[in-house]
Amino acid sequence: MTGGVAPLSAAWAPVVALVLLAGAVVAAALDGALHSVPAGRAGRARPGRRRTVTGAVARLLRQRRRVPVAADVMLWRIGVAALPVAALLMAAVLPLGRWTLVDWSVGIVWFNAVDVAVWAAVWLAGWGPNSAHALIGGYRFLAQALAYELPLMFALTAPAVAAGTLRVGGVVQAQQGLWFVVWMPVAFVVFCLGVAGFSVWGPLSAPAGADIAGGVLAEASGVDRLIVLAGRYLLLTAGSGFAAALFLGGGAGPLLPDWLWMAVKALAVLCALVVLRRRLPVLRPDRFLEAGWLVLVPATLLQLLVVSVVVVAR
Amino acid sequence: MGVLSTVAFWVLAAAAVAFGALVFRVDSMARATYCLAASFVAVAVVLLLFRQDYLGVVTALMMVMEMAIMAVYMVMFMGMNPALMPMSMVHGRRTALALSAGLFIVLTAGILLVPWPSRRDAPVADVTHALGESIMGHKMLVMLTVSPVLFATIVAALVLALPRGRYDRFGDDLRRRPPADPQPGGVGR
Amino acid sequence: MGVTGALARAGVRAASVLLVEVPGSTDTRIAVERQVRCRGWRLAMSSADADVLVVCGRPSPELAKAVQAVWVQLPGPRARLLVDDAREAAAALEQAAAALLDAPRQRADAGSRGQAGAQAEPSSAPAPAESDGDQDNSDDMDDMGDTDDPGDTDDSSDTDDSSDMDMDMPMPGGVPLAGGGQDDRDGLEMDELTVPLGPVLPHWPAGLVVRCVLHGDVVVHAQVSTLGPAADVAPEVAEIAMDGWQARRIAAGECDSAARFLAVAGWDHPSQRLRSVRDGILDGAPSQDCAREVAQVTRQVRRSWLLRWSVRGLGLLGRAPRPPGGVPDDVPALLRGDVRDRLLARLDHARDLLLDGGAGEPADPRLERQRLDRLPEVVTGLDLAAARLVVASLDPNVSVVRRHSVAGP
Repeated sequence: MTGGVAPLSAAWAPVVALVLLAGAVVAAALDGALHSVPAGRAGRARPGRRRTVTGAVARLLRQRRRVPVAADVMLWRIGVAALPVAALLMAAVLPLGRWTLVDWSVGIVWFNAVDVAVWAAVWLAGWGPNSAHALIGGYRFLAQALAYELPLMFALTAPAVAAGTLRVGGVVQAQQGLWFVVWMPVAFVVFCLGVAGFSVWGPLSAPAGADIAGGVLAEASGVDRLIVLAGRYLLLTAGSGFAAALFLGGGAGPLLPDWLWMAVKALAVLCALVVLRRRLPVLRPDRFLEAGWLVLVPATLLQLLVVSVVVVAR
Repeated sequence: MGVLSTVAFWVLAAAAVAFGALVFRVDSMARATYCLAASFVAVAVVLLLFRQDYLGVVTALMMVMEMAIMAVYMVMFMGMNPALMPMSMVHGRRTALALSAGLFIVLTAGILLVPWPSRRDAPVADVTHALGESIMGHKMLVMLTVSPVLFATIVAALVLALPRGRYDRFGDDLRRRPPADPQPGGVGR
Repeated sequence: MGVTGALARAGVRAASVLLVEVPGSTDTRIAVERQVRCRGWRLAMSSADADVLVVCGRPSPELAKAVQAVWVQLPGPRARLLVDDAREAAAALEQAAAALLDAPRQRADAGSRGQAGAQAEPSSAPAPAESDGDQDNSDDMDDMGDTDDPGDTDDSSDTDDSSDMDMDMPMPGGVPLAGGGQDDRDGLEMDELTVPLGPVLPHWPAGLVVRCVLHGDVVVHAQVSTLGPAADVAPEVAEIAMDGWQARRIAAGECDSAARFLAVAGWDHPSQRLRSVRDGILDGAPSQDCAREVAQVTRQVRRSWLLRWSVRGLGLLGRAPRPPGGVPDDVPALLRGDVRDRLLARLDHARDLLLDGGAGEPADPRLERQRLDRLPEVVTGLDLAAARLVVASLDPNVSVVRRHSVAGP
């Protein structure tokens, strides 16, 4: 059973990458635009010139790469490069309408494994430059990851249990009648939190926080910085795509073709995450750690219990 | 097995061994840890070659996660910044060599001497399920008991290892609120 | 030239600026911040992120040295400016943009970096070094704890001030390792790393240096010192004929401080909003409107349970845990409570100043002194994130403190 999903040949991989990149550019452009909008009603300050993605990319392409003293350059570069690669690996099992690169029977576990690989990537990106602030950023990420990863795993389990398959296409198929977000809202919210977590985004962006001079980003310059920033946006995009596929019914919807519905839903989640970033303060990792274990884990376990009972009773 | 998968198997096996050996050759704890992770990931991909998709992916997941945490502990207990401080990853060289050589001989002998069954039929569609059945099938009760026992052991070991108990937190009459914690958490217990 | 030139022009349109505020030059810093925003530029988080280093005000030799250490870390293409007058901000940034676009000059700069290092860089303040009784060993501080220039031998000798340093320890790359320290709060034997916070950090009080001894990211010892301008004199306030100008300036300062606190807390929206209110106040917008806007932000901050949850009980001064009987303490009202209380006190103060339209009292030197003096004890035992929030909530005005400790008792 392929779950109504047709796998594409490997030659389409660059197209998948471009689609993902387009999503990331939209997110970055939206973030830049929100930055330029004068906050509040005041409007008395002249609105600044818009910050464009092109400008930011051009700046980083032109900037020289700087390597701090006694840096472990190899590990640093591996960590930096792993971020966009991880996003692409996630996107590989994500169906866009009927098309997917790989229709894998363990797609959801694969997604989970790749998001765990981000642990290593971010920590290495913080470790490599041999700088106090970057290192603290890397450690913060791991501390935070310990808090969001287990709830994220249980949140991922809920749709898989409901659909009776680990195939992403199968989960989409199982939502033809009712989107999973309707009867597993807790799992959806926790999943979005997890997406913010592995993208070092918004309330979970403490590893790259302003209080430690950019944390894991503190020493990155030039192309390195570009790749890390792009990796964050790409991860955010891939995560939003999964949120759409696992909880919002994937390509299901009236009138429009299913690939367009999928894109619209993923973009909606993505934009919501971008907008929320400015609206919420950063959660301090030490506080979030306890909340993750004592609130989020039980909450997602209860959600999972409800889903399992429903599935058994059905 | 096709030619391609045979080649892939040998390349991955060589990579797993090479990264494993590198663990003892590199001079930084971060590199040693992630060499080990790379070695495990190569093994996980070998599992994928056996069509054990679930096991392969889960192995990669668990091992990368474990190594990420292990790096933290190694650095924490060793204390020094190994990016700065080149240090040998080998301790007790002679004992270690003897032990690992002995273990290698025992395992290899086992592999070579066990009369492995030969394939009788085409493999079933879901090999993961079949593997689970054949390993655990009629011992499910044992498996179900083992996991809670293991979990309880971990928790108990942590409780025993923690120097601070509830009397330190809540005072001798257990009435102190909020508790005296060096780092208050977010839930406010 | 075509592609490279286009890339350069597009890149310079999105330049990012690292600001260094010399105590007493807040007006200049605010003016530069506004110009940065107008140009569509961005404030940098760290030296590696910056294209332009703007020093607002004329620094003392010690501060200039710290700035120099940061300048060495800018990846390039880079430009450095000293803006001493708020009115020059626009022209100065224009000049920086031109410098960034000047390819031959950037190439020469890049070429000179490898061999000569820091010594070859032109110093922004060529005044002879003189020692200042107020600080010790705070030269050559940088915000990263390292530099990309192995030839800069100053760095390895100066950052090494932990007394229990083992002398025959290897120093790879010329950087001393973390030294062995005492047991930490969990009973583990921890290494100590000395990390100076400031004077160049985003959203950091001007001229403040907190020399932290860290266990991991927990501050176990903190020592405060200050770096000043070339001359500790009261800043000349631009004469503007406006009702209650003094009160407005102070209110704007409070908004600015609150905005920086919220930026450290990672809450961009209200932070940006407060910045635009601050600019409005300085531009002479009707004070009723400004006060209403401040009140709105205050409400937003007060209502946010997420912020309350995140910073609850941090940097508590003066009220808990109080021994039975309640010994009265000497904590001034504005400093009382945790970091959030202090933030709200600032915002309320700003609103009151705007509504009263009175003369507005200049910053009280004793209060500012207290903010500075209480800092080490409050940040000790906190992790770095919490320590940053505490510093941002106290936000001592180093300029006032220094002027009054120089002038008299």
